[in-house]
Amino acid sequence: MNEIIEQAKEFGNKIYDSIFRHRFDNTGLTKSKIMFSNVMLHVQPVKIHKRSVKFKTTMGMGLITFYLFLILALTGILLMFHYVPSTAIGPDGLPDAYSRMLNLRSNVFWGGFVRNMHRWAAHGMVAFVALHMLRVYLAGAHRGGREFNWVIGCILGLLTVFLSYTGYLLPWDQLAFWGVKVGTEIAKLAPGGALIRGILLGDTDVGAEALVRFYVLHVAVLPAVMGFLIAVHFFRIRKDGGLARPADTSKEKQIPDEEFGDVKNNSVFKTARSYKLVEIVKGNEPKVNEEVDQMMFAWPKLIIRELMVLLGVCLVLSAISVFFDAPLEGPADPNHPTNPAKAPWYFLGLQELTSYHGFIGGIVIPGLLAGGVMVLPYIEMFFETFTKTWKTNVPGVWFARERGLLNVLFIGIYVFMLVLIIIGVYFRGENWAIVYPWEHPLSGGGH
Amino acid sequence: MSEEKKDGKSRRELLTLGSAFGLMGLAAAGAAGALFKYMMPVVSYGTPRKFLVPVEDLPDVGDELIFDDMKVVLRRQTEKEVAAISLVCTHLGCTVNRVETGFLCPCHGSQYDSDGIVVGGPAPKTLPWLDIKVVPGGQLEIDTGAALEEGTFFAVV
Repeated sequence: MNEIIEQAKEFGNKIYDSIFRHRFDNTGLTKSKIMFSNVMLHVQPVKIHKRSVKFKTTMGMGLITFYLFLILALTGILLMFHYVPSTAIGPDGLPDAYSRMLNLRSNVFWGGFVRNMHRWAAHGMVAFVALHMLRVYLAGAHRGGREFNWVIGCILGLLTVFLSYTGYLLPWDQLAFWGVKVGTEIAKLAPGGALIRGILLGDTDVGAEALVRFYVLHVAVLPAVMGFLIAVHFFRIRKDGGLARPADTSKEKQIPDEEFGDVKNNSVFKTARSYKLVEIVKGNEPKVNEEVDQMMFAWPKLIIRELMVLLGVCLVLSAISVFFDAPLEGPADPNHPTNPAKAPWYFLGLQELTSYHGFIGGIVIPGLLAGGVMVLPYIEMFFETFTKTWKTNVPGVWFARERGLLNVLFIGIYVFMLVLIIIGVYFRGENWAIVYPWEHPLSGGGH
Repeated sequence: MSEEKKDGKSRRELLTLGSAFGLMGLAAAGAAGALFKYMMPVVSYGTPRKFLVPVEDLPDVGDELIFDDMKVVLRRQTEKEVAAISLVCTHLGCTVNRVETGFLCPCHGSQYDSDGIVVGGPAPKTLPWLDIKVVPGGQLEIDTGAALEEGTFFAVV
């Protein structure tokens, strides 16, 4: 009998060993193995700087954005099972795409919840992209060799907005139709814009062809590009040496060692990141990380924190999706816009700008802002190189004194857009006339 | 001597790499062009540009008739004079609403007077006045693609 139990244990162990290459003991070697033998975890380094897990360093903004992207992918796939990108009028007298929304809301088991989740996550993602960008800039984390990753981040931000834009056409309601109508009319004002508009719409006007094209862009093309660029974005964080940090962190208050427990280190390399030490480097001395004392194992501290953020995001998003329904206006009427016809909040700043001048407000200012912000680290670099007195390369320091002027300008851009959005959301009424929100009930828009 | 050899080698490398990348670039340019043509619409499924109105359907003198689907307002000035004005905002293509003072756009607040002349808001141009033709069978053909001078009335009947 005992023999059989022993054999069963041995068999069990063999199965375990064929799946995992490590146990969960408390040695440095195991902690390393956990990280690099798991396809999901090996994206992250075995050892990270202690300040990386501090809330103050990133506030988890980038991570939240990434999680929202994952939730969007998941809920998006679920929605695809119940959606057709068709404007054909069904037996209920409604366009197919629109009646699928009603179907989701009223018939499909928790269909409304999935749609709410998708819509609110999309809004959240736009917001957190903006916040993440603000965090990165104010902490100077776009400098110190990370300039190109900032550019990729900006492209990811634009993709996020474009994904939202292609996404909100799909319900084929009034918001969808007129948002895309106006957006593509703005595109027409840009040089070569008529061609872009033709390719986007597949017709002379917004219609059945546009719906199919936006659908394909939304569910296949843009997420694929986005996924690839996210990989590049993360890869470069690794290759650029992890999160941006000041040149000397030895005096910073760190998480005390006892908080992440004793680590039995039975490897040859006592404190350094081993893979750094075994690198063959040109020179007379072995390359030793000067901050070995500040490094900690990513397992389990970092991973647990990441999972906590994931749980938090899921919890908050689920709660919002249970209590608040995603907006759905009447079915698209190509002849009459709603009055006022408002875009979702993140486009209302642009809509406010275009209401002053189509070309300047719709193309020139947004183009300059997007392009300028994208090359911002290179503008800083330019002045540093040519003046020698302008020293703004201070990575990883919140509100560095040297970057005061830049920070004020950057916050200024945010305030400018925020004010425009607030005007668009609360102070525009029928026929886009100025109204005061306390005098008139809000109608339309704001979503 | 050795330098010449080195030069020769780098030249060969340059030629190889150059032709390889050149061919790849050419193929990429060709593919991009083909993709562009493939994506460009050649057939329109949208609303037609022109539409017909029977003469007996014309509004009374001094009155107007709005054609929702075509986004056109038909105005009868006198017994014989008729004009058609487009209801598509010249700013960003929303449909304007007919109000007492003229036309108002709900999207960005463009304002026009009753003749479609801009009196406020971001609209850059007057609402287009459209071409009207009398066609056989007692019908008018209105061309929504043609933009004429404001105040262009056509003699009918």
